[in-house]
Amino acid sequence: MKNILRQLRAEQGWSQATLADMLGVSRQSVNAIETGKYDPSLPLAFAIARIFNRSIEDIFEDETATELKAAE
Amino acid sequence: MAEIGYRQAKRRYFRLFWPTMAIYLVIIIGGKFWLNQYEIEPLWLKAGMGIAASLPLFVALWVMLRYAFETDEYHARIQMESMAISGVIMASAVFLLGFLQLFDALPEFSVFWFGPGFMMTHGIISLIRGGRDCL
Repeated sequence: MKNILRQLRAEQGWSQATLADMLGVSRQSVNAIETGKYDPSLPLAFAIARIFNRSIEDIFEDETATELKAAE
Repeated sequence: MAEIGYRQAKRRYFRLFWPTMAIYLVIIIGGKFWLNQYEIEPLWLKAGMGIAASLPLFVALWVMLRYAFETDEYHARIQMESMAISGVIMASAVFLLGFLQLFDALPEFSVFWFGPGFMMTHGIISLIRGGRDCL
């Protein structure tokens, strides 16, 4: 799943470790989410959205929905 | 077991894993030395040594599982996947070799190596699935 987490984090000037501490996960987890290697659970996605004061859809792109829209 | 976070889970893992492995080594090396030095006859004593050598491994396996339950969701997924895949690989190997023995295609051999085999495949699969992140 594509996301703009890296961009949002950079805007705040936070390191991966800082964001990881705020979320209560490892730095590797933040890196894995940013690189699209791992899709977070719903509670973690909500926590990320809360931190950046955005909705989940603003941060994570539902690729299936995008493909469906493109096909229409 | 609830999720307590990656760092604390890792600390709890290593705090129990390494002493357990040290005890295991002492029992294996000491037990083998003792058996070679003195001809131990009673079966119960030999069985006791076998059980004593297994106990630290039971603890190590439980510690691995506890870590998977307690760490953050990304590491939990890596651990659970590698445990499941290595479990399936080792169970398949046990079935295959067991049937080959049953049909006399293979001589009898020690089942001891399935335990270390599980640990080894678990480690390799963790590395493949998580790369450096599994460390």
